Amino acid sequence: MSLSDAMKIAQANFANTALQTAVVSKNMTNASNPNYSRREAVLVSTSYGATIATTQRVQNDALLKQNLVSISKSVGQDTLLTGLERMKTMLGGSAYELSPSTYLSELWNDLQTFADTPSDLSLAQSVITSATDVANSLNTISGSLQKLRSEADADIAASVSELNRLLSEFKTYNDQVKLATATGGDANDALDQRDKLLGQISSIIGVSTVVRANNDIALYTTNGTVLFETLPRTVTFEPTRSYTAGTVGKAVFIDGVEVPAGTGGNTSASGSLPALLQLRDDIAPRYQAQLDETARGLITLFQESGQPGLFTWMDGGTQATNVPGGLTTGLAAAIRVNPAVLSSQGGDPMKLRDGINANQNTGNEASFSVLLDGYLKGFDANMTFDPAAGIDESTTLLEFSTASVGWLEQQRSAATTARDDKAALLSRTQNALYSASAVSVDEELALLLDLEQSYKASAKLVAAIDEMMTALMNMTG
Amino acid sequence: MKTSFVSNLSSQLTLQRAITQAQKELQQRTAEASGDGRHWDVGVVLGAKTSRSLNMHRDLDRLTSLLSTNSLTETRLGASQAALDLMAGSAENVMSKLTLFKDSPAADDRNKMKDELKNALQVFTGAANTTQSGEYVFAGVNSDVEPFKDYLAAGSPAKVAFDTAFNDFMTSNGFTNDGTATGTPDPSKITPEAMQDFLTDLEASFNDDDYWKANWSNASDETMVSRISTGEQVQSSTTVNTEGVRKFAFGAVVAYELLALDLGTDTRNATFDVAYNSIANSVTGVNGEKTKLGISQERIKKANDSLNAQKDILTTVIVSLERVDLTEVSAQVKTLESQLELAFTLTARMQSLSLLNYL
Repeated sequence: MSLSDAMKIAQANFANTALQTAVVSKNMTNASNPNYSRREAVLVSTSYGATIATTQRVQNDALLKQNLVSISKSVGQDTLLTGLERMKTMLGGSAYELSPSTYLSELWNDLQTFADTPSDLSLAQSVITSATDVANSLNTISGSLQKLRSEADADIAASVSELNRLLSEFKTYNDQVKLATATGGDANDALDQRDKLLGQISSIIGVSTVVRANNDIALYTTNGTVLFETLPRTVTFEPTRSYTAGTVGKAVFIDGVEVPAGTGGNTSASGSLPALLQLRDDIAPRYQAQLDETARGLITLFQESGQPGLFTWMDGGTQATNVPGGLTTGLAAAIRVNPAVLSSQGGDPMKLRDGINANQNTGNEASFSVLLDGYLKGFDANMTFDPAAGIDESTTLLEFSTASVGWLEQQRSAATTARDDKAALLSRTQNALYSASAVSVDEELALLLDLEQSYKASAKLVAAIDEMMTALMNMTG
Repeated sequence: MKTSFVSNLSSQLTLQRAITQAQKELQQRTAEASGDGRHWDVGVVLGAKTSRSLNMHRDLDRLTSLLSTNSLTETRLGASQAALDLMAGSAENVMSKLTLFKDSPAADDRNKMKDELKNALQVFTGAANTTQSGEYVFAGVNSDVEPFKDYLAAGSPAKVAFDTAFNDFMTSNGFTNDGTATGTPDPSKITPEAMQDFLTDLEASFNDDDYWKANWSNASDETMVSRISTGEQVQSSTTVNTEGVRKFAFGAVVAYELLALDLGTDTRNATFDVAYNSIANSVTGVNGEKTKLGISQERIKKANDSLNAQKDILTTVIVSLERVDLTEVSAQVKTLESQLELAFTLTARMQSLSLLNYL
């Protein structure tokens, strides 16, 4: 060893300190970047002191995977809840003012008042008005529901193209990582980008990751379909522009395999895509079936001599003359108040009392209430509803309509609770992940102080060596 | 290696989430406490039970609407009762007038009596045609037509029918000035037995529905029926087709038309007895109808009591289902406030607790 060796070691320290300071300053700059993992310059002892071998990136694979799962679950639940909240809004505020059940109950009350004084034209008018409200409410909600489905369809299309874009971007960074790892280069920035993309992909569809040679990652969806392996798999979807109750939406395919929709209020959906599919193909059609059955119940209840009475429906472009025998998809959008009782269309409201299809009040009695009493009895009688509606199959029309609201609220209540739980889980895993891999400015500052000391020491060392060299030169000089 | 296991991001996020969560809840609790005391989002709290809550709201509406239709029905029944009182009163009036003039067969007295009877018949007709909010209360379900035809009106079918029948009776029996069918009718020749037969036939025709409806009544036999509670319907009107009205009409017409004639004493007495008895029976008949309606009134009263009781119970159940416990809410609000304050203080303190401030 010689003085010049000592000089070289001190010089190496300058270089090390400079590099370390660069890493610390990069860390501090990214202190608020959630997609940044903290770096650390790793020192390796050499014959000339120490040198920076690599810049290590803090990575916790277990937490990262947990975070991806939490993101997809939370986003899936949020998407479903948003849809359910919209459906709730169709029914009005906290008193469900706009729901068919509310209008039905008004109709029932008005009918009862009319049956008590069947000679009063204004009471007949008010029954017709509330009947129109019921029909309008069914038409409107059915329309909004199909609009919700077509918007979900558009969202699916947008998510699919976004997913394809993310996957191709994922390939770019995955290739960079592979290359850098294989050649011993710095893959850290590419890794940050790749992790960020993983988070974005997870919010669309749940993925599980498999790490292979050279830090190459393969992506599988939660149900095992390959999403990315060396190359991105194509996600295909054929959008449907407009929806009616009978429209069946197209499926989403990843590499030819259909993406399953989520199930339940506390949904099994991972990511927004399965949740949107669930809204479009399960929740909304189920609710539509309930509306359709409500409409059928109304037409059946008010039927008269085997033909539609107060309520009728449009079969294609013409007014139907038969009472539907079973679940008729789209009936809620087609139900109308019979024009024969609408004074605005030249009808006579009093036909409600006397009979629409045939005059049953042959004595022309002003207080004829046989038909009206029959309708009121109908309201109290159990009817049979299709199991596809997913609620009581044998109940009264009024109870069926409130059970329908109950069904929706049950879904929404479960979804809200699950949303809170899943959001809390996401918040905890994110916190754990950030604690492990994000930057603490205080820690970096402390490190900086160390580096400063180390730099000062090296400088002192150089000065001392310089002095010693000078002394030596003077002696020889 | 990383040594601290804490980062700026994680400590910031924790506080941020605590603050937003507390603020959200504080807003909801405040709305619950200051609003109508219902849960912030009833549907989420009740879930499937929402349908029960809606069913109860509907039942409550139904009870309210039953109570209001009941009050309408009560008004109708009240009007009917008042009219029946008038009818019974006019029948009693006829009886007292008949008694008064029984033994005064002079022409003057007979005309006076006829005037009195005319008045009583008018009062009775008016009462029988009572209306209540546009409906004739004694018309049965045919409530838009005047039920009781006015006997005294010009060309009234009842008078025409009576006159024809009486003329036929006198001419066919030879009670004429010359004893033949073509002579001028002479009431004084009518024998008590013949009169008796005539009146029996006439009474039978008053009890015949076809004759009655053709000449006297436009009412339907079917009375109005009103639902007064979820499971009970009551008769809420009576009609002029009942026995009491027919008997009054018969008695009054007999007295009005025949007792004014110059009859033989025996015949007059026989006619008088028939008319008097018929009117007396009509009072019983009318009172019978009063009783029927009285029962309905009593049922409505009972029904209203039970409806009001059910309303109270339902309201209590709905309140317990949908309302928040205000004490609990105010306690929660206090806790949330202090949590928020704590979070704010901590945020400020953490900001100052940076190494930067000490270098």
